[in-house]
Amino acid sequence: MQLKVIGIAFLAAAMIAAGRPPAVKVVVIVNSANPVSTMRREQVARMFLREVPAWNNGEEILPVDQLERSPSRITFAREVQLQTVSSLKTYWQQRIFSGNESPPPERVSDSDVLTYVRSNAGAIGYVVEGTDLGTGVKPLVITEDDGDPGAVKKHK
Amino acid sequence: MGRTLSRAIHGALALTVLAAVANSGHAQTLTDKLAIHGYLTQGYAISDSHQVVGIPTRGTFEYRRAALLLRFKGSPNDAFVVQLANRELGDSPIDDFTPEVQMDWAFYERRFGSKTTLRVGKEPIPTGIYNETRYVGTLLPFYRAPLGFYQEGSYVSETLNGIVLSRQITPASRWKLSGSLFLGSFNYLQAGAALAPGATAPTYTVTRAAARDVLGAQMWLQTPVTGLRAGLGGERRDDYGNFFGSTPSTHASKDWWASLDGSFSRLTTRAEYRQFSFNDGSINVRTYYGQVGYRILDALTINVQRDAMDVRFAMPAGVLKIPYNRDYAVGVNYMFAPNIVAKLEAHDSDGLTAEEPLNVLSDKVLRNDYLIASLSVSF
Repeated sequence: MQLKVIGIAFLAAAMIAAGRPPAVKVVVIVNSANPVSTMRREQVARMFLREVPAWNNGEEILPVDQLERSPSRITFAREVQLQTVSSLKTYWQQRIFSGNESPPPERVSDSDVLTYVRSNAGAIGYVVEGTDLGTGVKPLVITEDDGDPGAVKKHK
Repeated sequence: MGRTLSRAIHGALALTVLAAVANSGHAQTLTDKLAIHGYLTQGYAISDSHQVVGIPTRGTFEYRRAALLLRFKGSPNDAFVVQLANRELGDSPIDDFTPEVQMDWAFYERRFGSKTTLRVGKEPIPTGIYNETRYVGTLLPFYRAPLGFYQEGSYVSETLNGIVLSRQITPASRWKLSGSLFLGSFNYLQAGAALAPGATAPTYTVTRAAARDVLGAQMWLQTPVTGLRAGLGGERRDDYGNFFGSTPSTHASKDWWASLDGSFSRLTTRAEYRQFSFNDGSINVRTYYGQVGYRILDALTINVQRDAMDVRFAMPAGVLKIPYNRDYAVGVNYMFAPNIVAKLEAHDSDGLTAEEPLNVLSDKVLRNDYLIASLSVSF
Protein backbone atom coordinates (compact mmCIF):
# COMPACT_ATOMS: atom_id res chain seq x y z
CA MET A 1 0.00 0.00 0.00
CA GLN A 2 2.76 2.41 1.01
CA LEU A 3 4.66 1.58 -2.15
CA LYS A 4 1.52 2.25 -4.15
CA VAL A 5 1.13 5.71 -2.55
CA ILE A 6 4.79 6.50 -3.16
CA GLY A 7 4.40 5.27 -6.75
CA ILE A 8 1.37 7.51 -7.35
CA ALA A 9 3.14 10.48 -5.78
CA PHE A 10 6.19 9.86 -7.92
CA LEU A 11 4.04 9.57 -11.03
CA ALA A 12 2.19 12.78 -10.17
CA ALA A 13 5.46 14.59 -9.55
CA ALA A 14 6.83 13.26 -12.84
CA MET A 15 3.70 14.44 -14.68
CA ILE A 16 3.92 17.89 -13.13
CA ALA A 17 7.60 18.04 -13.95
CA ALA A 18 6.91 16.94 -17.52
CA GLY A 19 4.38 19.73 -17.95
CA ARG A 20 6.69 22.41 -16.63
CA PRO A 21 10.13 23.13 -17.92
CA PRO A 22 12.88 23.21 -15.34
CA ALA A 23 13.14 26.57 -13.60
CA VAL A 24 16.17 28.60 -14.64
CA LYS A 25 17.49 32.03 -13.92
CA VAL A 26 18.51 34.21 -16.79
CA VAL A 27 20.94 37.03 -17.24
CA VAL A 28 20.33 39.90 -19.63
CA ILE A 29 23.26 40.67 -21.90
CA VAL A 30 24.36 43.37 -24.30
CA ASN A 31 27.30 43.94 -26.59
CA SER A 32 30.35 44.99 -24.60
CA ALA A 33 30.61 48.21 -26.66
CA ASN A 34 27.29 49.30 -25.20
CA PRO A 35 27.89 51.95 -22.50
CA VAL A 36 24.80 50.88 -20.53
CA SER A 37 25.42 48.66 -17.52
CA THR A 38 22.20 48.95 -15.48
CA MET A 39 18.57 49.04 -16.60
CA ARG A 40 15.15 48.93 -15.05
CA ARG A 41 13.10 45.80 -15.71
CA GLU A 42 10.35 47.82 -17.37
CA GLN A 43 12.85 49.38 -19.81
CA VAL A 44 14.06 45.95 -20.87
CA ALA A 45 10.47 44.74 -21.29
CA ARG A 46 9.65 47.72 -23.54
CA MET A 47 12.71 47.02 -25.67
CA PHE A 48 11.56 43.45 -26.24
CA LEU A 49 8.13 44.80 -27.26
CA ARG A 50 10.01 47.08 -29.69
CA GLU A 51 8.48 50.13 -28.10
CA VAL A 52 11.86 51.83 -27.97
CA PRO A 53 13.73 51.98 -31.28
CA ALA A 54 17.21 53.17 -30.26
CA TRP A 55 19.69 53.35 -27.40
CA ASN A 56 20.63 56.76 -26.05
CA ASN A 57 23.71 56.76 -28.27
CA GLY A 58 21.47 56.39 -31.36
CA GLU A 59 22.35 52.75 -31.99
CA GLU A 60 19.35 50.66 -33.11
CA ILE A 61 18.07 48.33 -30.39
CA LEU A 62 18.13 44.74 -31.63
CA PRO A 63 16.42 42.45 -29.13
CA VAL A 64 16.89 38.72 -29.65
CA ASP A 65 14.64 36.04 -28.16
CA GLN A 66 15.03 32.34 -27.54
CA LEU A 67 12.63 29.69 -28.86
CA GLU A 68 9.21 29.80 -27.24
CA ARG A 69 9.58 26.43 -25.51
CA SER A 70 12.97 27.16 -24.02
CA PRO A 71 13.09 27.45 -20.21
CA SER A 72 15.00 30.72 -20.42
CA ARG A 73 12.33 32.27 -22.68
CA ILE A 74 9.61 31.21 -20.24
CA THR A 75 11.52 32.69 -17.30
CA PHE A 76 12.30 35.91 -19.19
CA ALA A 77 8.64 36.35 -20.19
CA ARG A 78 7.45 35.75 -16.63
CA GLU A 79 10.10 37.69 -14.70
CA VAL A 80 10.93 40.56 -17.03
CA GLN A 81 7.94 40.95 -19.34
CA LEU A 82 5.44 39.91 -16.64
CA GLN A 83 3.47 37.86 -19.17
CA THR A 84 3.20 34.33 -20.48
CA VAL A 85 4.85 33.31 -23.74
CA SER A 86 1.39 32.49 -25.10
CA SER A 87 -0.05 35.94 -24.33
CA LEU A 88 3.03 37.54 -25.86
CA LYS A 89 2.49 35.51 -29.03
CA THR A 90 -1.06 36.82 -29.23
CA TYR A 91 0.23 40.36 -28.61
CA TRP A 92 2.68 39.99 -31.49
CA GLN A 93 0.00 38.66 -33.82
CA GLN A 94 -2.03 41.78 -33.11
CA ARG A 95 0.98 43.99 -33.76
CA ILE A 96 2.11 42.20 -36.91
CA PHE A 97 -1.28 41.98 -38.55
CA SER A 98 -2.09 45.61 -37.93
CA GLY A 99 1.05 46.46 -39.90
CA ASN A 100 3.38 47.11 -37.00
CA GLU A 101 6.79 45.81 -36.01
CA SER A 102 7.63 42.10 -36.07
CA PRO A 103 8.74 40.31 -32.90
CA PRO A 104 12.43 39.96 -32.13
CA PRO A 105 14.18 37.19 -34.05
CA GLU A 106 14.57 33.88 -32.22
CA ARG A 107 17.76 31.94 -31.67
CA VAL A 108 17.83 28.28 -30.76
CA SER A 109 20.46 28.29 -28.01
CA ASP A 110 22.40 30.43 -25.54
CA SER A 111 25.43 30.15 -27.77
CA ASP A 112 23.46 31.49 -30.77
CA VAL A 113 22.19 34.39 -28.67
CA LEU A 114 25.76 35.16 -27.57
CA THR A 115 26.92 35.12 -31.18
CA TYR A 116 24.12 37.51 -32.18
CA VAL A 117 24.81 39.93 -29.33
CA ARG A 118 28.55 39.77 -29.95
CA SER A 119 28.10 40.66 -33.63
CA ASN A 120 25.56 43.47 -33.21
CA ALA A 121 26.48 46.59 -31.24
CA GLY A 122 22.82 47.38 -30.45
CA ALA A 123 21.76 43.86 -29.51
CA ILE A 124 20.18 42.83 -26.23
CA GLY A 125 19.42 39.23 -25.28
CA TYR A 126 19.34 36.82 -22.39
CA VAL A 127 20.95 33.51 -21.55
CA VAL A 128 20.80 31.05 -18.68
CA GLU A 129 22.62 32.32 -15.59
CA GLY A 130 26.05 30.76 -15.33
CA THR A 131 26.63 30.55 -19.07
CA ASP A 132 30.18 31.45 -20.06
CA LEU A 133 29.72 34.79 -21.83
CA GLY A 134 33.19 34.90 -23.37
CA THR A 135 34.39 38.14 -24.90
CA GLY A 136 32.40 40.88 -26.63
CA VAL A 137 29.34 40.44 -24.40
CA LYS A 138 28.57 41.84 -20.98
CA PRO A 139 25.79 41.31 -18.45
CA LEU A 140 23.38 44.01 -17.38
CA VAL A 141 22.26 44.63 -13.83
CA ILE A 142 18.47 44.67 -13.91
CA THR A 143 16.67 46.53 -11.19
CA GLU A 144 13.04 46.42 -10.25
CA ASP A 145 11.13 49.62 -10.86
CA ASP A 146 11.87 50.75 -7.31
CA GLY A 147 15.60 50.38 -7.91
CA ASP A 148 16.17 47.04 -6.16
CA PRO A 149 17.82 44.17 -8.02
CA GLY A 150 15.06 41.89 -9.29
CA ALA A 151 14.64 38.23 -10.08
CA VAL A 152 16.88 38.55 -13.09
CA LYS A 153 20.33 38.72 -11.60
CA LYS A 154 23.60 40.03 -12.73
CA HIS A 155 25.77 37.29 -14.14
CA LYS A 156 28.39 36.13 -11.68
CA MET B 1 -20.59 21.03 -57.08
CA GLY B 2 -17.34 20.14 -58.89
CA ARG B 3 -16.18 23.76 -58.63
CA THR B 4 -17.05 23.86 -54.95
CA LEU B 5 -15.18 20.63 -54.28
CA SER B 6 -12.20 21.86 -56.27
CA ARG B 7 -12.10 25.09 -54.25
CA ALA B 8 -12.42 23.09 -51.03
CA ILE B 9 -9.43 20.97 -52.02
CA HIS B 10 -7.58 24.14 -52.98
CA GLY B 11 -8.33 25.64 -49.56
CA ALA B 12 -7.40 22.45 -47.72
CA LEU B 13 -4.06 22.26 -49.52
CA ALA B 14 -3.29 25.90 -48.75
CA LEU B 15 -4.21 25.31 -45.11
CA THR B 16 -1.98 22.25 -44.89
CA VAL B 17 1.02 24.14 -46.24
CA LEU B 18 0.43 27.15 -44.02
CA ALA B 19 -0.21 24.98 -40.95
CA ALA B 20 3.08 23.22 -41.57
CA VAL B 21 4.88 26.56 -41.78
CA ALA B 22 3.02 27.91 -38.75
CA ASN B 23 3.86 24.85 -36.69
CA SER B 24 7.47 24.57 -37.77
CA GLY B 25 8.63 26.92 -35.05
CA HIS B 26 10.82 28.87 -37.45
CA ALA B 27 10.98 32.58 -36.88
CA GLN B 28 9.44 34.56 -39.69
CA THR B 29 11.62 37.56 -38.98
CA LEU B 30 13.90 36.45 -41.80
CA THR B 31 16.55 39.08 -41.25
CA ASP B 32 16.76 42.22 -39.19
CA LYS B 33 15.48 44.02 -42.30
CA LEU B 34 12.79 41.77 -43.77
CA ALA B 35 9.89 39.97 -42.12
CA ILE B 36 7.24 37.88 -43.87
CA HIS B 37 4.01 36.89 -42.17
CA GLY B 38 0.71 35.46 -43.29
CA TYR B 39 -2.64 34.12 -42.22
CA LEU B 40 -5.32 31.89 -43.64
CA THR B 41 -8.79 30.97 -42.48
CA GLN B 42 -10.66 28.30 -44.37
CA GLY B 43 -14.29 27.87 -43.49
CA TYR B 44 -17.35 25.85 -44.33
CA ALA B 45 -20.63 27.70 -43.90
CA ILE B 46 -24.26 26.73 -44.31
CA SER B 47 -27.51 28.60 -43.81
CA ASP B 48 -30.91 27.07 -43.09
CA SER B 49 -33.30 29.31 -45.00
CA HIS B 50 -31.84 32.49 -46.56
CA GLN B 51 -28.49 33.53 -47.96
CA VAL B 52 -26.66 35.93 -45.64
CA VAL B 53 -23.08 37.19 -46.04
CA GLY B 54 -22.63 34.78 -48.92
CA ILE B 55 -23.71 31.68 -46.99
CA PRO B 56 -26.12 29.64 -49.12
CA THR B 57 -28.55 26.98 -47.92
CA ARG B 58 -26.59 24.30 -49.80
CA GLY B 59 -23.40 25.19 -47.89
CA THR B 60 -20.11 26.50 -49.19
CA PHE B 61 -16.39 25.88 -48.82
CA GLU B 62 -15.71 29.12 -50.67
CA TYR B 63 -15.35 30.89 -47.37
CA ARG B 64 -11.81 32.02 -46.93
CA ARG B 65 -9.56 34.91 -46.04
CA ALA B 66 -5.83 34.85 -46.48
CA ALA B 67 -3.03 37.37 -46.68
CA LEU B 68 0.70 37.57 -47.06
CA LEU B 69 2.40 40.50 -45.36
CA LEU B 70 5.91 41.75 -46.05
CA ARG B 71 7.59 44.33 -43.88
CA PHE B 72 10.90 45.78 -44.95
CA LYS B 73 12.73 47.89 -42.42
CA GLY B 74 15.05 50.42 -44.04
CA SER B 75 16.31 51.81 -40.73
CA PRO B 76 15.17 51.79 -37.08
CA ASN B 77 12.69 54.51 -38.02
CA ASP B 78 11.64 53.63 -41.57
CA ALA B 79 9.65 50.70 -42.89
CA PHE B 80 7.70 49.73 -45.97
CA VAL B 81 4.77 47.33 -45.64
CA VAL B 82 2.90 45.44 -48.35
CA GLN B 83 0.01 43.03 -47.85
CA LEU B 84 -1.58 40.87 -50.55
CA ALA B 85 -4.95 39.33 -49.76
CA ASN B 86 -7.42 36.80 -51.05
CA ARG B 87 -10.99 36.63 -49.74
CA GLU B 88 -13.86 34.37 -50.70
CA LEU B 89 -17.34 35.25 -49.53
CA GLY B 90 -19.30 32.20 -50.63
CA ASP B 91 -22.14 32.99 -53.03
CA SER B 92 -22.32 36.68 -52.19
CA PRO B 93 -22.73 38.97 -55.20
CA ILE B 94 -20.10 41.15 -53.52
CA ASP B 95 -17.53 38.51 -54.49
CA ASP B 96 -17.98 39.41 -58.17
CA PHE B 97 -16.65 42.89 -57.41
CA THR B 98 -13.47 41.85 -55.67
CA PRO B 99 -10.34 40.47 -57.39
CA GLU B 100 -8.92 37.05 -56.54
CA VAL B 101 -5.79 38.66 -55.15
CA GLN B 102 -5.69 42.29 -54.18
CA MET B 103 -3.07 44.69 -52.94
CA ASP B 104 -4.48 45.26 -49.51
CA TRP B 105 -1.87 47.52 -48.00
CA ALA B 106 1.14 49.37 -49.40
CA PHE B 107 2.45 52.03 -47.10
CA TYR B 108 5.57 53.75 -45.88
CA GLU B 109 5.93 54.15 -42.13
CA ARG B 110 8.12 56.69 -40.41
CA ARG B 111 8.72 56.62 -36.68
CA PHE B 112 9.55 59.82 -34.78
CA GLY B 113 11.11 58.80 -31.49
CA SER B 114 9.25 56.13 -29.55
CA LYS B 115 5.89 57.90 -29.42
CA THR B 116 4.90 59.09 -32.89
CA THR B 117 4.34 57.17 -36.11
CA LEU B 118 3.30 58.42 -39.53
CA ARG B 119 1.97 56.15 -42.27
CA VAL B 120 1.56 57.27 -45.86
CA GLY B 121 -0.01 55.19 -48.64
CA LYS B 122 -2.74 52.58 -48.44
CA GLU B 123 -2.92 51.57 -44.81
CA PRO B 124 -5.42 50.06 -42.36
CA ILE B 125 -7.80 52.54 -40.75
CA PRO B 126 -7.62 52.59 -36.95
CA THR B 127 -11.31 52.06 -36.23
CA GLY B 128 -12.55 50.25 -33.16
CA ILE B 129 -11.14 47.07 -31.71
CA TYR B 130 -11.04 44.93 -34.81
CA ASN B 131 -10.76 46.96 -38.02
CA GLU B 132 -7.02 46.62 -38.47
CA THR B 133 -7.08 42.87 -37.79
CA ARG B 134 -10.61 42.14 -38.99
CA TYR B 135 -9.64 39.19 -41.20
CA VAL B 136 -7.07 37.51 -38.93
CA GLY B 137 -8.88 34.38 -37.78
CA THR B 138 -6.43 33.53 -35.00
CA LEU B 139 -7.25 36.85 -33.31
CA LEU B 140 -11.03 36.84 -33.68
CA PRO B 141 -13.44 35.03 -31.34
CA PHE B 142 -15.74 34.27 -34.30
CA TYR B 143 -15.13 33.84 -38.03
CA ARG B 144 -15.74 37.54 -38.62
CA ALA B 145 -15.68 40.74 -36.64
CA PRO B 146 -19.24 41.72 -35.59
CA LEU B 147 -21.21 42.36 -38.76
CA GLY B 148 -23.19 45.44 -37.74
CA PHE B 149 -20.15 47.44 -36.63
CA TYR B 150 -17.59 46.25 -39.17
CA GLN B 151 -19.76 45.07 -42.09
CA GLU B 152 -18.31 42.60 -44.57
CA GLY B 153 -17.12 43.63 -47.99
CA SER B 154 -19.48 46.61 -48.24
CA TYR B 155 -20.27 50.02 -46.72
CA VAL B 156 -16.99 50.35 -44.90
CA SER B 157 -13.36 49.95 -45.76
CA GLU B 158 -10.49 48.34 -43.97
CA THR B 159 -8.04 50.68 -45.62
CA LEU B 160 -7.50 54.33 -46.43
CA ASN B 161 -5.52 56.01 -49.18
CA GLY B 162 -3.93 58.81 -47.26
CA ILE B 163 -2.10 59.32 -44.00
CA VAL B 164 -2.46 57.99 -40.47
CA LEU B 165 -0.64 59.81 -37.67
CA SER B 166 -0.47 57.94 -34.36
CA ARG B 167 0.91 59.17 -31.08
CA GLN B 168 1.21 58.02 -27.51
CA ILE B 169 -0.14 61.14 -25.85
CA THR B 170 0.63 60.57 -22.19
CA PRO B 171 3.85 58.98 -20.92
CA ALA B 172 3.75 55.32 -19.95
CA SER B 173 1.93 55.32 -16.63
CA ARG B 174 -1.08 53.70 -15.02
CA TRP B 175 -3.39 55.61 -17.37
CA LYS B 176 -2.05 55.63 -20.90
CA LEU B 177 -3.70 57.69 -23.64
CA SER B 178 -2.90 57.18 -27.30
CA GLY B 179 -4.53 58.45 -30.45
CA SER B 180 -4.55 58.30 -34.23
CA LEU B 181 -5.64 60.87 -36.74
CA PHE B 182 -6.41 59.82 -40.31
CA LEU B 183 -7.01 61.72 -43.50
CA GLY B 184 -7.60 60.54 -47.07
CA SER B 185 -10.10 58.66 -49.18
CA PHE B 186 -11.29 55.16 -49.94
CA ASN B 187 -13.56 53.28 -52.29
CA TYR B 188 -16.21 50.92 -51.01
CA LEU B 189 -19.00 48.67 -52.19
CA GLN B 190 -22.60 49.25 -51.31
CA ALA B 191 -24.85 46.21 -51.35
CA GLY B 192 -28.55 45.82 -50.70
CA ALA B 193 -32.03 45.76 -52.13
CA ALA B 194 -32.88 48.90 -54.09
CA LEU B 195 -35.79 50.07 -56.16
CA ALA B 196 -34.59 51.40 -59.51
CA PRO B 197 -36.44 54.42 -60.95
CA GLY B 198 -39.55 53.17 -62.74
CA ALA B 199 -39.20 49.59 -61.43
CA THR B 200 -42.06 47.90 -59.59
CA ALA B 201 -39.98 45.48 -57.55
CA PRO B 202 -36.63 45.91 -55.80
CA THR B 203 -33.50 44.13 -56.97
CA TYR B 204 -30.45 43.14 -54.96
CA THR B 205 -27.73 45.48 -56.14
CA VAL B 206 -24.03 45.96 -55.56
CA THR B 207 -22.53 49.27 -56.56
CA ARG B 208 -19.19 50.99 -56.28
CA ALA B 209 -19.09 54.14 -54.19
CA ALA B 210 -16.37 56.44 -53.02
CA ALA B 211 -15.62 58.27 -49.81
CA ARG B 212 -13.61 61.46 -50.21
CA ASP B 213 -12.19 63.99 -47.78
CA VAL B 214 -12.23 61.43 -45.00
CA LEU B 215 -11.11 62.88 -41.69
CA GLY B 216 -11.22 60.80 -38.54
CA ALA B 217 -9.67 60.00 -35.21
CA GLN B 218 -9.39 57.07 -32.81
CA MET B 219 -8.40 57.44 -29.17
CA TRP B 220 -7.57 54.67 -26.70
CA LEU B 221 -7.28 54.96 -22.95
CA GLN B 222 -5.42 52.12 -21.28
CA THR B 223 -6.66 51.83 -17.70
CA PRO B 224 -4.70 50.79 -14.61
CA VAL B 225 -6.65 47.49 -14.75
CA THR B 226 -4.38 45.24 -16.78
CA GLY B 227 -6.09 44.32 -20.05
CA LEU B 228 -8.87 46.91 -19.84
CA ARG B 229 -9.05 49.80 -22.29
CA ALA B 230 -11.68 52.18 -23.59
CA GLY B 231 -11.85 53.78 -27.01
CA LEU B 232 -13.63 56.62 -28.73
CA GLY B 233 -13.51 57.54 -32.40
CA GLY B 234 -15.25 59.39 -35.17
CA GLU B 235 -15.08 60.12 -38.87
CA ARG B 236 -16.56 62.50 -41.41
CA ARG B 237 -16.51 62.03 -45.16
CA ASP B 238 -18.21 62.90 -48.44
CA ASP B 239 -19.89 59.94 -50.20
CA TYR B 240 -20.20 59.75 -53.96
CA GLY B 241 -22.01 57.18 -56.09
CA ASN B 242 -23.99 55.36 -53.44
CA PHE B 243 -27.62 54.44 -53.93
CA PHE B 244 -28.94 56.28 -50.91
CA GLY B 245 -29.60 59.02 -53.42
CA SER B 246 -26.74 61.25 -52.37
CA THR B 247 -26.60 64.47 -54.29
CA PRO B 248 -23.74 66.94 -54.33
CA SER B 249 -25.52 68.82 -51.57
CA THR B 250 -26.35 65.81 -49.39
CA HIS B 251 -23.29 63.59 -49.52
CA ALA B 252 -21.86 64.37 -46.10
CA SER B 253 -21.66 61.33 -43.84
CA LYS B 254 -20.54 61.09 -40.26
CA ASP B 255 -20.06 58.30 -37.82
CA TRP B 256 -18.73 57.90 -34.34
CA TRP B 257 -18.07 54.91 -32.13
CA ALA B 258 -17.21 53.90 -28.59
CA SER B 259 -15.42 50.75 -27.47
CA LEU B 260 -14.73 48.83 -24.30
CA ASP B 261 -12.17 46.05 -24.51
CA GLY B 262 -11.34 43.80 -21.57
CA SER B 263 -8.91 40.91 -22.03
CA PHE B 264 -8.11 39.13 -18.79
CA SER B 265 -6.50 35.81 -18.02
CA ARG B 266 -9.50 33.63 -18.83
CA LEU B 267 -12.22 36.14 -19.56
CA THR B 268 -12.61 38.40 -22.56
CA THR B 269 -15.39 41.00 -22.72
CA ARG B 270 -15.86 43.43 -25.56
CA ALA B 271 -18.60 45.87 -26.46
CA GLU B 272 -18.85 48.57 -29.10
CA TYR B 273 -21.45 51.06 -30.25
CA ARG B 274 -21.42 52.87 -33.59
CA GLN B 275 -23.69 55.40 -35.18
CA PHE B 276 -23.60 56.27 -38.88
CA SER B 277 -25.35 59.22 -40.39
CA PHE B 278 -25.69 59.28 -44.19
CA ASN B 279 -26.96 61.98 -46.51
CA ASP B 280 -26.75 64.80 -44.05
CA GLY B 281 -28.63 62.82 -41.44
CA SER B 282 -31.58 61.55 -43.51
CA ILE B 283 -30.46 57.94 -42.93
CA ASN B 284 -29.15 56.87 -39.54
CA VAL B 285 -27.70 53.49 -38.65
CA ARG B 286 -27.12 52.46 -35.06
CA THR B 287 -25.27 49.28 -34.29
CA TYR B 288 -23.84 47.71 -31.17
CA TYR B 289 -22.57 44.38 -29.99
CA GLY B 290 -21.40 42.63 -26.87
CA GLN B 291 -19.05 39.67 -26.71
CA VAL B 292 -18.03 37.45 -23.83
CA GLY B 293 -15.47 34.71 -24.07
CA TYR B 294 -14.40 32.35 -21.31
CA ARG B 295 -11.43 30.02 -21.56
CA ILE B 296 -12.66 26.92 -19.79
CA LEU B 297 -9.51 24.93 -20.55
CA ASP B 298 -6.13 26.22 -21.68
CA ALA B 299 -7.03 25.44 -25.28
CA LEU B 300 -10.82 25.63 -25.21
CA THR B 301 -12.83 28.85 -25.21
CA ILE B 302 -16.57 29.43 -25.36
CA ASN B 303 -17.76 32.69 -26.91
CA VAL B 304 -21.18 34.32 -27.03
CA GLN B 305 -22.16 37.44 -28.91
CA ARG B 306 -25.16 39.66 -29.47
CA ASP B 307 -24.92 41.92 -32.48
CA ALA B 308 -27.71 44.38 -33.42
CA MET B 309 -28.32 46.99 -36.06
CA ASP B 310 -31.19 49.44 -36.55
CA VAL B 311 -31.75 51.72 -39.53
CA ARG B 312 -33.79 54.93 -39.28
CA PHE B 313 -35.08 56.66 -42.38
CA ALA B 314 -36.29 60.25 -42.16
CA MET B 315 -39.55 60.09 -44.17
CA PRO B 316 -42.05 62.86 -44.88
CA ALA B 317 -44.46 61.15 -42.47
CA GLY B 318 -41.86 60.81 -39.73
CA VAL B 319 -38.97 58.56 -38.80
CA LEU B 320 -39.22 54.93 -39.87
CA LYS B 321 -37.18 52.61 -37.65
CA ILE B 322 -36.25 49.19 -39.02
CA PRO B 323 -34.71 46.47 -36.86
CA TYR B 324 -32.26 45.56 -39.62
CA ASN B 325 -30.42 42.76 -37.89
CA ARG B 326 -30.38 40.83 -34.61
CA ASP B 327 -27.68 38.20 -34.47
CA TYR B 328 -27.13 35.92 -31.50
CA ALA B 329 -24.08 33.71 -31.75
CA VAL B 330 -22.41 31.02 -29.71
CA GLY B 331 -19.10 29.45 -30.61
CA VAL B 332 -16.42 27.09 -29.41
CA ASN B 333 -12.75 27.69 -30.22
CA TYR B 334 -9.99 25.15 -29.85
CA MET B 335 -6.49 26.61 -29.83
CA PHE B 336 -3.90 24.07 -30.91
CA ALA B 337 -1.37 26.88 -30.55
CA PRO B 338 -1.77 30.68 -30.44
CA ASN B 339 -1.42 30.62 -34.22
CA ILE B 340 -3.61 27.57 -35.01
CA VAL B 341 -7.27 27.83 -33.99
CA ALA B 342 -10.35 25.80 -34.95
CA LYS B 343 -13.81 27.31 -34.51
CA LEU B 344 -17.39 26.13 -34.64
CA GLU B 345 -20.11 28.74 -34.35
CA ALA B 346 -23.89 28.94 -34.67
CA HIS B 347 -25.79 32.14 -35.43
CA ASP B 348 -29.45 32.93 -34.96
CA SER B 349 -29.83 35.89 -37.27
CA ASP B 350 -33.14 37.70 -37.73
CA GLY B 351 -33.47 40.72 -39.95
CA LEU B 352 -33.22 42.05 -43.45
CA THR B 353 -29.60 41.24 -44.22
CA ALA B 354 -30.48 38.40 -46.61
CA GLU B 355 -28.94 38.85 -50.04
CA GLU B 356 -32.36 38.91 -51.69
CA PRO B 357 -34.51 41.59 -53.36
CA LEU B 358 -36.33 42.57 -50.18
CA ASN B 359 -38.26 45.74 -49.66
CA VAL B 360 -36.59 46.92 -46.48
CA LEU B 361 -39.28 49.53 -45.91
CA SER B 362 -42.18 47.08 -45.84
CA ASP B 363 -41.04 43.45 -45.64
CA LYS B 364 -41.11 41.58 -42.36
CA VAL B 365 -37.83 40.46 -40.85
CA LEU B 366 -36.60 37.04 -41.92
CA ARG B 367 -35.63 34.36 -39.46
CA ASN B 368 -32.43 32.60 -40.30
CA ASP B 369 -29.84 30.36 -38.67
CA TYR B 370 -26.39 29.67 -40.01
CA LEU B 371 -23.33 27.71 -39.02
CA ILE B 372 -19.63 28.28 -39.72
CA ALA B 373 -16.81 25.81 -39.09
CA SER B 374 -13.33 27.15 -39.71
CA LEU B 375 -9.65 26.58 -39.17
CA SER B 376 -7.28 29.54 -38.89
CA VAL B 377 -3.51 29.55 -39.03
CA SER B 378 -0.97 32.33 -39.04
CA PHE B 379 2.79 32.65 -39.04
